[in-house]
Amino acid sequence: MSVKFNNVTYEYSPNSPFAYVALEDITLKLPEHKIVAIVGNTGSGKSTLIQHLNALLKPTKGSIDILERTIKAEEKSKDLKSLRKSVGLVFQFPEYQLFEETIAKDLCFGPKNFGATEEEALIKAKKALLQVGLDHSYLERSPFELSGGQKRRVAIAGILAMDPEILVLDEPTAGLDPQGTKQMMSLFNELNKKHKKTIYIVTHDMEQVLQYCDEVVVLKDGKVVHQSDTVTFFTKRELLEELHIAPPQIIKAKILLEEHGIKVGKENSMKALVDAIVKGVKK
Amino acid sequence: MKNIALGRYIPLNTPFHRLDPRAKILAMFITLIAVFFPAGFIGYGIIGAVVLGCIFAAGLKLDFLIKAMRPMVFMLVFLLVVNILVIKTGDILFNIGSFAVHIDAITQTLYITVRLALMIMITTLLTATTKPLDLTLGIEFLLTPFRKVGFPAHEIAMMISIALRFIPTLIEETDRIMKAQTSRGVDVEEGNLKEKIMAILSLIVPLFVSAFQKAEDLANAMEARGYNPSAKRTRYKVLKWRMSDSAIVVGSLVICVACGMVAFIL
Repeated sequence: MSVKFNNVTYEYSPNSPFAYVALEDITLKLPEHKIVAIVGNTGSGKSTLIQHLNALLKPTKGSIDILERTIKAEEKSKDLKSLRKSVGLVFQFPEYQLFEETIAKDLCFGPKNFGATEEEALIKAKKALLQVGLDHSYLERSPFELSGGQKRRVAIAGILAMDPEILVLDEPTAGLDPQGTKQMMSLFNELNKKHKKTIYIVTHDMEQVLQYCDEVVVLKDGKVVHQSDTVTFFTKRELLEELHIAPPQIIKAKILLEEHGIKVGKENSMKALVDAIVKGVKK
Repeated sequence: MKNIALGRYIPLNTPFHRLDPRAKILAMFITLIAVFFPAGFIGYGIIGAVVLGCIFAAGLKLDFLIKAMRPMVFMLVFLLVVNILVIKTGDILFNIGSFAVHIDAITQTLYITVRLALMIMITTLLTATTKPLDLTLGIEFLLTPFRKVGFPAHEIAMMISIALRFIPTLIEETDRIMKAQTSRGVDVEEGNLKEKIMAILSLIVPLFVSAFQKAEDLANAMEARGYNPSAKRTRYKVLKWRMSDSAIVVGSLVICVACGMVAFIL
């Protein structure tokens, strides 16, 4: 188990008129080497939850085990740098974190903070840039003259250059065009499959969940209301309805087919649907 | 970052919150003038008692006040040191080696401390009980007479309200960027000078970029909706002056005159 939340509660500005409980007594195990989707409506506590993975927020109550470390409430944690090196956190709209004159410098910023030498950092930067699909001609350019989508990629490369074991992403494809979205998601998929990275991804896009994610965690009002593998998740129709989650197109089609008496198997693919229809027509 | 108390509006519903913003601004100015009279500790005692009474009537807690005053601690320590070095009148309080500390240095510092504390209390009372937009509405109204001499009252008020509107946004933004850079290994508390400068740069550059971006977006959005500063406009919110508003202005005038009398006649 790479991450475990033990009865974690988090409250913003406690003891003030603005006090607000964002997470309430959360107990949760997140698996290793998988892509896990964290879904839930706005204000359900997703962003608060993922900030705990990096000890940016510390639990008001409870504790969290992350990669052989334990973060406890009311305990000053030392050496958070090593934790932050192994857990890469990509915030929403990460392009706002770019600040250096050249892309190469910006990509080297993370690795150098974690103790890499100039040369090591540059090697990592070059590798990360290629991973996000930009070639080395970008190295000496200013990050501020790029398009929005390219900036996003450079920002994500800045995290990848730190070579984290766990990659946590908060809506990484928000505001990208369909092409960019697809490239981004295949990148994460490849990082998971080829490089065995653990990936936790906050998303609203159910198509992405169905296509790329192995597991789903559902948050509602600061509580975990569901956790299962993706296939099982999309069979819980009452749950989806209760959470106002519109299922992906394929699941919708499956439901419609079943209403017409055509049984589709467990598999969620276009091919399975077509096979089922053909079989139904032939009958 | 979310713990900044200075200038923050506290949403309650006390008689103080319901006062007309114009009355509160006027009363604040008059009491501030009173604070500037050299009325001695007696005068400050009077103002302090009244202001504290008002603060409790407005439902503000003591620890909120203390939080609001925390930023001035550094300045006061600095002031104390300078006063001890410079002021050489009054009885000698004690000696540090061959260096004498005089009693006037301490009383002077105390005097300024009380003055500053009073000023912060008075302004906090205004900002904590008045919604930022009501505040600018009040300012605009009070500045309107100066339009005759070419003073751009509406433009200034609009600028103030935009600035106020974006304070929480910028604080949020700072918080966000700080977190993003922290997870990239920035450590503001530790590290040598060069690392610290880098840490601050990594915060300020993105903050400026996003602030300018927001300013441009806002300007375009206003222009797209046909905003014209010199156009005559009606108001959604109409200010109403009540008896209680006159009462607070008169009350502050009484304090001001009393302090003036203590300072110049007694």
